Amino acid sequence: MISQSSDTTAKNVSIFLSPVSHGTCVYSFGQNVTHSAAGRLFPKANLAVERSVFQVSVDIEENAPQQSIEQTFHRFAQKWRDETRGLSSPTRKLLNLNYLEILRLPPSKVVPLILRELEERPGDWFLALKLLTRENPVAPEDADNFRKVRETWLEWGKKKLLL
Amino acid sequence: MVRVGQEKAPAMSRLSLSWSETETEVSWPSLTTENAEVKSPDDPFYNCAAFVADDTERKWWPIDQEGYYWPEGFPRDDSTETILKTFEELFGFERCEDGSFEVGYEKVVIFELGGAPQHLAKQLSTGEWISKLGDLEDIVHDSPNNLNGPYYGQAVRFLKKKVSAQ
Repeated sequence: MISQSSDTTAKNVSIFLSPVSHGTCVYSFGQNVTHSAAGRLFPKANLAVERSVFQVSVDIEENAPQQSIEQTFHRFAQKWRDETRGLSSPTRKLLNLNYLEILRLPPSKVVPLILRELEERPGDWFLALKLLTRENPVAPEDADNFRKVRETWLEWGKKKLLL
Repeated sequence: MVRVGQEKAPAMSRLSLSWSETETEVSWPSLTTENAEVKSPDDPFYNCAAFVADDTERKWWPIDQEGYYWPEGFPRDDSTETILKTFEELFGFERCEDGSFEVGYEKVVIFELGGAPQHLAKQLSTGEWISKLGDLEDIVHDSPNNLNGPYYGQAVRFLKKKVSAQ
């Protein structure tokens, strides 16, 4: 059902996504952080390609220079915006390869960059923040309101001195 | 090649959106200034499904993701069937064959790619269609087919609802 490989001590993390029965997909990042989204998460036509993309083991370079991380983040964020701004399906936005590349960056360095991006250009960054921080400051009653979710994450970032 | 004395056919103008011309052309190859017009500034705080439901304050989609609303009592399974059922039960639509203009009816179209829903648009009382394009602008266009292509797939499912006379 789900493929997961995690060795945080060696700073190696795998991100696997596997379709399971009833069309449910499970994201896995790191050890126990999971996000479930019921339903068909991507068009059948792209299934094989998308799956092969996900099943790649990656290294997180915690010691990489901040400047290099920033450049990498901005490159992928720009490409993600370019490729998905006109999409209506959130599923396809969140499964875009550039978005997934951002999830490979070191959380301590990329989270402040995502928060700044979210502040300047509102976008679908909530899943990335949840996965990278392993926190969720959003109250259940606000969860389906994009504006409130965004405000909550920005306030969270300010409280944590990340923004 | 254009020869001397031979007139060059006028090039169709690409609709000007807050997006690169290349992305616009690749995504919606049939969309031009001849068949569509921009009606609002870009806005990331609502989407096509919300727009069809007359809500410009939230994003609607049947998915279990923060930032997205879907009416209670309907599954969040990212399926066309759920969108159809929700609009039938909540707003009184019924399924129909196509997007042809019928006096006294409002119509909604769902685009699919690979069997998954990609976009919604609604028909105006003029017979034209209005769409919120992702986080981009609202546009009015002649036909659902103007948005067919690799980005949204094809306009395949239609709903209609009787509208009261003004």
